[in-house]
Amino acid sequence: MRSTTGEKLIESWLDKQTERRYQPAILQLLTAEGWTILHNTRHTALEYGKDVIARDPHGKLVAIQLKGNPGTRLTKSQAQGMLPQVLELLEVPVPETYMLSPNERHTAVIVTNGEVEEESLLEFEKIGQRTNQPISSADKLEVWGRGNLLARFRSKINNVWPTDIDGIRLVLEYHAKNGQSLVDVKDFSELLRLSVGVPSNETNSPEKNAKVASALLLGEIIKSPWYEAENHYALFQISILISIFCLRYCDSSIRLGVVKSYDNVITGHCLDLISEAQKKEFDAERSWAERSPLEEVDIMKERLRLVADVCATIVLSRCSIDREQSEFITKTLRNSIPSGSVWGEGAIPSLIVRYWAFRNTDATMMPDQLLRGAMYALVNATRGVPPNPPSPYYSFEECLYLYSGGQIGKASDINEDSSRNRSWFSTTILYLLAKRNWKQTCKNVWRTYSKILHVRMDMSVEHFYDAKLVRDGREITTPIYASDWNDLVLEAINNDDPGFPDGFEDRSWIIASYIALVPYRAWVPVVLWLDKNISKTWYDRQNPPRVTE
Amino acid sequence: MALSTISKLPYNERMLPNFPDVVEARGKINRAKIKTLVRSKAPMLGQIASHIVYEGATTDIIRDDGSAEETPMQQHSANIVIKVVPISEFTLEAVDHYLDEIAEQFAKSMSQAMHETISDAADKSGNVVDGQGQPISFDLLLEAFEKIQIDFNDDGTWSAPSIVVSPQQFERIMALDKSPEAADYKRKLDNLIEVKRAEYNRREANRVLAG
Repeated sequence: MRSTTGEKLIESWLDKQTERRYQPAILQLLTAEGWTILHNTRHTALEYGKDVIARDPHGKLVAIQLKGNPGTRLTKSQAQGMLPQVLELLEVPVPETYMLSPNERHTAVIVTNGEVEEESLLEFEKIGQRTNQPISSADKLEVWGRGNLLARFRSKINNVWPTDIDGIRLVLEYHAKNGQSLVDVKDFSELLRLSVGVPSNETNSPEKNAKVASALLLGEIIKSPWYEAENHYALFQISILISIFCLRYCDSSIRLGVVKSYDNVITGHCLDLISEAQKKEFDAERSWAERSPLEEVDIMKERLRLVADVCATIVLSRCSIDREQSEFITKTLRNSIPSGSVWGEGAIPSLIVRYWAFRNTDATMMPDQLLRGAMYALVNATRGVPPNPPSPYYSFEECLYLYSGGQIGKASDINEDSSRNRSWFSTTILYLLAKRNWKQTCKNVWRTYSKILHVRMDMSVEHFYDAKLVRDGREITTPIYASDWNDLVLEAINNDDPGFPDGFEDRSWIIASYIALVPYRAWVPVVLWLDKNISKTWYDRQNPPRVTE
Repeated sequence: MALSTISKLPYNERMLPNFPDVVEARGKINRAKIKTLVRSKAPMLGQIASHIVYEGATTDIIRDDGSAEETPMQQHSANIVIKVVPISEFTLEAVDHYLDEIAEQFAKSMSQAMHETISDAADKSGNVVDGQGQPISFDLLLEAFEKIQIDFNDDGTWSAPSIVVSPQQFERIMALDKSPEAADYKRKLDNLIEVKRAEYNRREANRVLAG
C-alpha cells in the first residue's frame, strides 16, 4: 500500500466490523482475487455453519465461516465455544448443487477480523485433525485472522488508493461520515475518479481487471458508515454509482462478468430497504414520518419517490420477490408517479424509470395515463408562473431552497438560473408517448410544447459513467415550431444509440437506476435505448409508422 | 422554556431515506413559529424578559434581608394528535394548524404557571388585595398600587405595572375610565406616585458602599 494513511484506514475499518458487516467486503476481496462465489448467506441465517461457499482461483471448493472479533482477539475459550459450528463446517457437506462431482470434499475456512491467539490456533489444529477421517466432508481446515485479511485487503486496495491529497481527503471524509445523509453523487464520482481513475488507451487488460475488482472492494469499505447506520438507500446509491463507474472498464465479457457479480449486492440493499419500509409500515398513500411529521413535511413526497425508485430497481432487475413484497412495490410505484411529486426536471428521469417499472406490474392503461399527466404538468409548469421546474443539475434540496424562498434546503446558484420556457425532458416524454401511439395527446400538447425551448447535452459517452460535471461537449437549445406525426415517431424510435458497447443490454436496470440518481445523464438516446430494452411499445424499429401518401 | 428541546434528538437509528438538514431546518422554523404564536396568544409572556439557565435544577433569589425565594423550574409540554391523511393533504398549512394547537397549549399552561408564581409570591409577602367578590373599583386599584413596590427609571419616569384582568374586568375598567370619578382617581394616583417616588428615592439613597 502506498500510504500509511490508507493502511490505517483499512485497519480502522476492519477493527470495527462485525461478521455481518465485513461479509460483503470479504466477498469482493475473494472476487478480486479470482475466486468464484457460489453462495453467500448475507440475507439468511447461518446455513450448516457456512456463510460463504466459493471456488478458489484453482477451482478448489471452499466453505467459509465468518466470525466477528472487532478490535479484539479470538481467545481459546471462544475457539472452544465455536466447536459445534466448526464441526458442522467440517462434517456437513456443501449442497450437491455446488459440487462438481459427488462427494467432492471442500476446504473449510474460519475467518475472523480479530487476532487469533496461539492457544486458539492449537485448538483449531486439534479440531482440524478430523479432516483426516473419511467421515469429514472437508479435507482441510484453515484459519484466516486479522493479519491475513489486512495483507490481502491492502494488496487489492492498493490498485485504487488515491495518490493525490484531494483523493485521500475525500476517502477519509467518506470514511468519517455518520451515515445518516444521502450520498452527494458529484462528490462520490470525484472520489471514484481520483481513486479508481478512468482507463486510457495505455491501460492493459490485467490492469483493467484489477481496477474493476478493487473498485468494488473499495466501495464495500467506503460504505462502512452507511452499513453502520443501516442506511439502505445510501448503500443502494453508492452501489449503483460504483457499478456504473466500472462499466467504462467493461470492454470484455470477463470484466462485465465481475461487475454483474455485484448485482446481488445492489438488489440486496434494495430488498433490505423494502423490508425495513414494510416493518415500519411505510404507507405510500398516506402521510408517514420516521419520527416527527411536523418536521418531515417537506421530505415526505421525496422520501416516497426514493423508496419507489428502489422498488423500480427491483422490478426492472427481475429479481425474485414474494407476494407481500410485490404488493408493496406495486402500491408504492402507483402512488409515486402522480406529477404532484415533481419538484424539478431532476425528478423526471426517476419518474420515467418508475413508469417503466409500474408498466411492468400493471397491464392497464393507468401507467400511460400517469405519464400523459406528467407531460401536461411539465410543459404547463415550464410555461407557467415562476418558479418553473429547475434544470436537472439541481437537487431536491436546492429546489426546496428555491421554493421556500431560502428558508430551507441547500443554497446554490438556483435563484440566478431561470428555467422559464426551457425544458430538458419534455421531448423525452413526448418521444415515449409517441412510441406508444398516444397521437392525440401529442397533438394536444404540441401547442404548448412547441413554445418551449428544448435543451439537451451533446457529450461523449465516456462522461456518462460518472456524475462529475465536465467542460466538454455542448449544451444544445432547440426551438420547435411544427412537425409531422410520422417524423416524430421516427425520431423517437431511431434516436436510441447512446454509444454503449454490445453486451450492456442486461445492464439496463442498473443504467435506469443510475439516471434516476444522476438525472443530468438521462440523455435522450440513453432513455430511448432503455425504453427499447425495458418496455414494449406500439412503434419500434421493427414496427415503424406506415407512411401514407 | 421547553420549546427548544422539541424533537432535537438526532436520527441515529435505522431509517428510510432522510434529509437530516432539511428536517432540522424545518424543526427550527417550527419552534420559532411556536414561540411567536405563544407570544401572540399570551402577550404578557412576551413582555417578560427571558434568560436561559444552562446548569442547575432550580433558580433562587436571595434578597437583601437574607430571605431566599426559590423559582422552581417547570416543564411545559403540549400534546397533539397528528392524523394520518393522504400524503397530498399533509401540507405546510396543515402543519401550521398543528403548530397553532401546540402554541395554544403552551400559552395556556405557561400563563397559568406565571399567574400561579405571582400569586404565590404575593401570598407570601402579604401583598394581596381581596376584593371579596366586589367589582373592580378605583379604590381597589389604588389599594393594590399602594401595596406594591414601584421603581422609577433613571430619568425619573414611571413604568406603569401591568394589570392582568379578565375580559369582563377589562370592560369595567374602561367604563371606570370614562366615569366622572376618573379625574379624582387620577389625582389620587398622581399623589400615590409621588409617595412611591419618595420611597424609591429613599431606597436609592441607601445604595452606598460605606466605610
